[in-house]
Amino acid sequence: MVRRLSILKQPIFSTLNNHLIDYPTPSNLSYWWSFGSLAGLCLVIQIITGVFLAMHYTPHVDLAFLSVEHIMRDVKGGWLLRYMHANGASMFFIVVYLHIFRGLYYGSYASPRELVWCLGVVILLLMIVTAFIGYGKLRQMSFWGATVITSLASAIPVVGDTIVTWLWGGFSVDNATLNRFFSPHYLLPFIIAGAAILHLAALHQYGSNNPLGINSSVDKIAFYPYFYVKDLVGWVAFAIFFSIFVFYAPNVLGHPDNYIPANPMSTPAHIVPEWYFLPVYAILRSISNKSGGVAAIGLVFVSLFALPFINTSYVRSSSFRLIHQKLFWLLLADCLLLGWIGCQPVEAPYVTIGQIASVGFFFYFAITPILGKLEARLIQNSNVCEDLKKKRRFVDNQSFFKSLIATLPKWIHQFQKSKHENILYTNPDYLFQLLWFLKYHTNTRFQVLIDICGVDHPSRKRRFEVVYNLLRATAKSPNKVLICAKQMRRCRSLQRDGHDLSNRYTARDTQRDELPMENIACRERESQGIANPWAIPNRVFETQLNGEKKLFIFFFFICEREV
Amino acid sequence: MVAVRLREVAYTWSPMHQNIMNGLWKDAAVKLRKRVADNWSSALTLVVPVASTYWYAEHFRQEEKLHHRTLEKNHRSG
Repeated sequence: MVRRLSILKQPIFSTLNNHLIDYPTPSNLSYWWSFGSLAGLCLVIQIITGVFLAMHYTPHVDLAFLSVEHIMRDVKGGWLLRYMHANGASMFFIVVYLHIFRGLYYGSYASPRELVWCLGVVILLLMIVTAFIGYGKLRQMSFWGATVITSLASAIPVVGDTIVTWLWGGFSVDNATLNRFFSPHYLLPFIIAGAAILHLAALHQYGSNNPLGINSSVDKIAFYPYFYVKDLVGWVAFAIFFSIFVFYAPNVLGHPDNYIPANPMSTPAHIVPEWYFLPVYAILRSISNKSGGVAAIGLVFVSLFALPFINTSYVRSSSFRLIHQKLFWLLLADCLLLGWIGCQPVEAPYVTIGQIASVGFFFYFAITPILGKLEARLIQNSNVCEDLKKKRRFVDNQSFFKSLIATLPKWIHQFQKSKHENILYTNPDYLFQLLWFLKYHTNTRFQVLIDICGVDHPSRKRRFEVVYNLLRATAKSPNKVLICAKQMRRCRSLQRDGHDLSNRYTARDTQRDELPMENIACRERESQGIANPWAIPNRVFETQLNGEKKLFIFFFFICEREV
Repeated sequence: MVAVRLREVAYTWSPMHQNIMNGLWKDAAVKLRKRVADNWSSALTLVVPVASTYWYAEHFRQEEKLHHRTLEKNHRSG
């Protein structure tokens, strides 16, 4: 039996247990679902390295550049902290962009997870602001990049110039700007952490999506240890990828002009932000009017926020939406092009390409409301469904069970179909084999055990039956079946209940039929070292009397046991 | 939010009766072929626009660099 420490039942620990250990997670999540925890890891790395860097950094216009060089050369491990922090920001954005695109492909933004998506966009915005203000202001590219971006605020009518002056703390990027940017750069990661907790809470309201995009409540497994281990694999792979940049190519993602102290009298030929801002920067530059460019940036985030609410498709995953699948890859290609255009000079042909790519980006969001309805209409009009019905085997209940009985004549000796139930009768000698077959065979896959019950027929000589209620999480029919092992004689644990209840029925006080509560087949298999495919019924927790059919039905706890 | 307590445990075969990850490299060629067959159209949808746009931009810049030769040629012939 797996023991649960009583500490896990205490208030705070029980919450942690319910959300991090025993949390039900779809069993079919792929590695694309590891990027969420990776993003959390990146945030922790940034906070820890940032705190230690802040112990040595001086946010003053005369000392900032030199303090960073002091960290790199004199502080023990300072070079590692600095490179981890700088490249950690890039890693954070890589992980988050992959996380976003995974959500786009598999429809994780769709109902009922709209709040999860919106909180994710809020986190992205906070990350962008944090990265921008943490880029430093006393290096050549950082200084001019900050000058360009902060001066965009002057596009706001009436109060624009005032806002820019307030942002700068003066009439240009200077010491005041450095201090008022450094302070929220320290604060915002903790705001991001809070937003991430809200993001997780919103996710846990309805549970994770899965690659099929279907309801996964019939087949969930505990987060620990399965996805703890799966995420650990992702973390190790990420650590290797991160280490390559930190130790072998720490400056490849940066700009060489940032090793030149800021010079307000010398403007670089091409001002470019860090790579993770390039797509948005390209959209900004594609519109020659400053206000139009700022509005376009705003429209990007408005489109992201609105996506769950403009989606009309009833199919989530792009695996089953062929048109959307192609549009997704075109969107990804478009974003890559925008990123490339963002670091190119503002001249032909890059201007035209940037404008077309920007239109293409917004086209994806514009067509989303129409696309769902178009795909639904195409499915309705197609003959695909009819063709599939003709071709596939096990079309309906009757042919499915006929095929099953023909395949397993020795294990199934009777089939009974009522209005709502399909019952297969077997002998206890073959119960294990039949359950194993039904659970693991490709054409059956009844992988969920809903309940086990015992049935006592007091009027029969062989009184007891054990019934396994199985479910399979597919759209195929049938999806439920009852397996009834008849002809059982002895019931050790049921002895008292069965005897007491049967006294109301028969006068056979001396008869004490017993049913072994361990599965007979399981006991045989255990001696050979092979485990039962499901847990063992242990104690009776409910007893019902069906007077009409003259039987008692016992429902068991499904207990855990060690193998 | 409803926290659901799971009432199940995973059973495993003993190490004497199972092989762990024996299928990782098994039929690798078949698996690769299937992956390519399933995803070639998506890969093309991603790669073709990027590659063709990059090629076009490079071609345009090359033409721009050589534009003065065309002008000179037209001037002489004209």
